[in-house]
Amino acid sequence: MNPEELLRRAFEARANTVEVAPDALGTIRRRIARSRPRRRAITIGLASLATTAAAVVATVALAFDVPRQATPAPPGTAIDTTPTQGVFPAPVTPAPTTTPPPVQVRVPVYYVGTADRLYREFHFATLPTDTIQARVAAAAGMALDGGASDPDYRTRWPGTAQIRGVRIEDAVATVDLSAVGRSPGSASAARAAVQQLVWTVTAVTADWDAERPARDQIKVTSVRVTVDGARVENLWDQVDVSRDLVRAPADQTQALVWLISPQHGDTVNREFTVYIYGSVPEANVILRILGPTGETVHTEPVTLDAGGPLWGEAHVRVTLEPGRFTVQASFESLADGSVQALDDHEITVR
Amino acid sequence: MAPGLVGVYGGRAVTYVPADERAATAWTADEAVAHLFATQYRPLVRLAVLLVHDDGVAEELVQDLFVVLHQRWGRLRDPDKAAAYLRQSVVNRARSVLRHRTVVDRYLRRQGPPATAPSADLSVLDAETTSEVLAVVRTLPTRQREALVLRYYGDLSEAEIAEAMGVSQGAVKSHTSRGLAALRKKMESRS
Repeated sequence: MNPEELLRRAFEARANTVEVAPDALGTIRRRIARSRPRRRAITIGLASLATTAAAVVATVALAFDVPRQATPAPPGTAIDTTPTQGVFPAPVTPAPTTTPPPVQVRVPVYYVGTADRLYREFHFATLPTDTIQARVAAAAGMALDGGASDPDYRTRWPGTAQIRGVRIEDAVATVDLSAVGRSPGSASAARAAVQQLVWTVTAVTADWDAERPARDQIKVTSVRVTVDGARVENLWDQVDVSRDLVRAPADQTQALVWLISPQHGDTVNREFTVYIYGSVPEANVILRILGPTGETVHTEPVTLDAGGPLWGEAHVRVTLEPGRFTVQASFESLADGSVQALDDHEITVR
Repeated sequence: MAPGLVGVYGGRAVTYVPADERAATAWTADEAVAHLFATQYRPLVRLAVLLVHDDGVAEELVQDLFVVLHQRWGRLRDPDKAAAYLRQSVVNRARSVLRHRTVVDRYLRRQGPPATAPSADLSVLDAETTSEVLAVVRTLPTRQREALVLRYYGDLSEAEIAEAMGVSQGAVKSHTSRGLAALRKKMESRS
């Protein structure tokens, strides 16, 4: 058999094993409904690529469930238009004559869960051009928006807050915000909001670097927050942002148990891998799987590869019959045996 | 509802014509998604699987494209253009997925090989050979792999492949022949 025929048959054989989700059209329609314009707007302008900025704004807006019309920067705003790597609102008058095909990237986004602890999800973002500024703006916008897949996660940012622009220079990512609104509540909530932003931005830049040789890495170590283009002393009189911000220690900000995969809402094959990450006493995590009526169908003690205060992980292969399930990961308090740091995701097994 | 006059509103006759009897260019975005889903969705998911090697990612990728298609329908307005647009977008996004996979893999353990049930086609080409051929294809450079998948799975013409890949027809010829040569060489070294 010649190579061409081998290829034809191999491709066909593989393709014929592919089954699509039975409710795929329904899923698409729900996603379309969710993508209709909502109140929040994310504005991104490319200082160095002013002629394509309109496309950036339009497409990022399209990808993040925001109105297609860009929100203009308030008059009199101090805007850095230095043609560096920077992305800040810039004049975007000329519309491009052609729109390049969008690029889809997967970005990490941090949300707040129980006790103001952070959880991470990955989300697809569609960008007209794959730049680090566009990725950061997209991920930060999603973090502020709070549209987590898991209904247990949320944002601590007020609903009015918007990303106006992103600039990256000298290992500092500057995120320009507007309409930061009223305090999200307690000091803990305000700190969580700011750390949501810092962890998201630094995770996106770290991922960017991981894909590139050392000479092309940007090595962002801190995040500078500005409001309407200007430095501010604090946010909501609660969090000092007068200096560049770094990640607060993981054991003070992150949830102690993460169910990394499958993510909430995932559809998985019958045999799949549960990926757990955490910092728990003696590295002991409980994996529990509940059926559609809440009955426990599987319980398993899992040992992470490191115990608290270190962070460890474990991968567990699980086989289930088709149906809907809830996967839970938690640890038991050494003091009283109570369930701690429960993270649960609803999934569908096909 | 049968086609025909359904009323007079504001002095204008209003008629109902089922979507599938109207010119495709008159489809609403919702109708376009429904029609194109029926004809394009499964083939696109299969094409995406061959490019990204992950059923779940492939399906999510294609679903995302239909959401974008809905938003862009006002500009496309043509099922043929839409089909070409979807195919081109699958190739572009698959490229992007592969580019970022090394990062994502650090966090998300991919599902194992999907669909273990043997296909009827495997009786023609045994599972081991299929697996070997696909494994070799995965090692090829992205453009060569895309050209081979579009040519030998998609049965596309050189012009269509060039459009989907965003390259010239000459480049398609080159990627295809180099891909085939590499495949031949690697298969020989394995046997």
